[in-house]
Amino acid sequence: MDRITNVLNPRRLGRLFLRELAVSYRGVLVAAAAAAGAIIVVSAVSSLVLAAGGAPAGSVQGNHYEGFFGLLLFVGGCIVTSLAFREVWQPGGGIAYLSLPGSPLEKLAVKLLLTSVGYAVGSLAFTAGVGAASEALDRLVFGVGHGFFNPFSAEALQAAVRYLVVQAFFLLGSIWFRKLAFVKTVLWLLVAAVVLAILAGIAMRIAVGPRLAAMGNGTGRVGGWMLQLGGGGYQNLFAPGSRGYAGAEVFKVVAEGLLIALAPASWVAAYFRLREAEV
Amino acid sequence: MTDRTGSESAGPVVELSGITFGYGRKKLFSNLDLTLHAGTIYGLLGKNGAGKTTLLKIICGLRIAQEGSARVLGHDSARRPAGMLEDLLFIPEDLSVPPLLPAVYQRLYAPFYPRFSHEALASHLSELEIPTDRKLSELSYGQKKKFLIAFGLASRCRLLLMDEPSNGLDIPSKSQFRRLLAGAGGDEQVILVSTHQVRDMENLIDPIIILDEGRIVFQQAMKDVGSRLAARIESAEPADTGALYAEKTLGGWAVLRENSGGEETGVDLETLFNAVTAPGSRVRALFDPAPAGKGA
Repeated sequence: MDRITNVLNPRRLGRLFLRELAVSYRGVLVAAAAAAGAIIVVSAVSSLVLAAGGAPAGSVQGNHYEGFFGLLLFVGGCIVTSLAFREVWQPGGGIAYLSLPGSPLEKLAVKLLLTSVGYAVGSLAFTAGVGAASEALDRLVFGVGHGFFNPFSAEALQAAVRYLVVQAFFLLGSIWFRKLAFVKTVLWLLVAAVVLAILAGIAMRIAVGPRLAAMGNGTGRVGGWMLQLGGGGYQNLFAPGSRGYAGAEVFKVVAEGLLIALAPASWVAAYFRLREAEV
Repeated sequence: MTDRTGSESAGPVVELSGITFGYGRKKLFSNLDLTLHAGTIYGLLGKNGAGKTTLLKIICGLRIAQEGSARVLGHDSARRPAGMLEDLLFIPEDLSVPPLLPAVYQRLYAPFYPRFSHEALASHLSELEIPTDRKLSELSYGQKKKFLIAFGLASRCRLLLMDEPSNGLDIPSKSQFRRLLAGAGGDEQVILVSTHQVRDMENLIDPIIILDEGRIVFQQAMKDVGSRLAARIESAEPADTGALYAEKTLGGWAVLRENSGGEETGVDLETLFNAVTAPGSRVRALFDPAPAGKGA
């Protein structure tokens, strides 16, 4: 039986954190500078178009920083997460990393915390900061803007929580796939989504098929995989207060619960994959 | 008795027992046994593809044996526990260094190793003439290797594994490396050097371990080799049955015979390796009349 200090030691954890930051900070800075530049340029062009279109001075139109935040969080975060364990599969890098004093749990915890909570918090702060600078610049130069990004808004925080779930799959992909982890993870997720959609279709057909057929447009059958929902049948079936509505709500909660449960399942799978990794 | 890292402080540092390993269908090791004790610099020799690097990886848990057990410092090496890794350092042939200055690397990585000596590292870096004002990733292959060797020796890990450490080193660096290695290796430490460059390692590595046909076919201290084998250069190919092994060299025939007179003649590693790995080797039979594979 392993001693707890062999599995999880705060000092080693701290050392692994420091090492990770020291090794990766340069790449993060370059990527952040590129993202900041893109946000400022796109915002400036957009403001210029607004001003040229006759928008009154001092007006604020839309809040496109939320869009930038979504891109940065989900696309950037999933790419960064996919690169988390890249060193394991690089020539020589795997030996250096896997033989570094630290338990698999500690190594996973460091990568997970940095790419999940660390990245989400960093993205919120980064978008707020760069968004504020860009907004100030646009209002100063063009007299119009897009509004400030609020990192504490419900939408932003909800997106951050969703990211924590989604990135778990990419973390698993990062340790699972030796090459092109991001692309392969996306493909696997697509395949999983298609399979789930087919299974859900079958389940729906079995569960509510006869009812739909009864409400159908007089043909008495549900055609193919597509549910023929003519004649207001859909609205009746899922109208608020109906059994269908309650069922759909339950289904939504169960589906979200399952999705959230898949995140820790992915962490556990990533742990075992890291523990068994051979180079 | 356990030490502060939770490992057994007594007993062998490395203990491989009944190791079977292969890549796909190709079996590399079959029922391989190996025991390494502290206080020595072992030399691991083998032909290309014999599995020297794989054996080193199995020892430090980077490859997992299909059968058998691998214990290092009292730990199951396949689990790569942190307590074992704190006392183990592997310098591979394929080097990977982060883009950091040597001093930054030292600050970040040295704390992982409880016995690390900063004074020793400074001394080794100076002796090996490694530039400290350039990032490690910008150094040449030989300089990177010298840095990692210096770091490995300064770590004072109880198990230091080196895969082809003299490959890529220039002539002065080889001499510097030999000097450093000669001064390393405390009573508690095992250094295992896998190499093809036997001339670089002559008089440094002892005992010698030879890996062939998927098992350890030879594991002997050079003192025992010298007391049981007599090496001579003869002008013609020996015709008598007393010659255990003979090979043509530039100066005549290098001949190994049983040392019946008790004189120390000194057997060079290259001849010894060739003699042990020759088909139907009589030298191997002399040292290990029983089936080979057990530790010395």
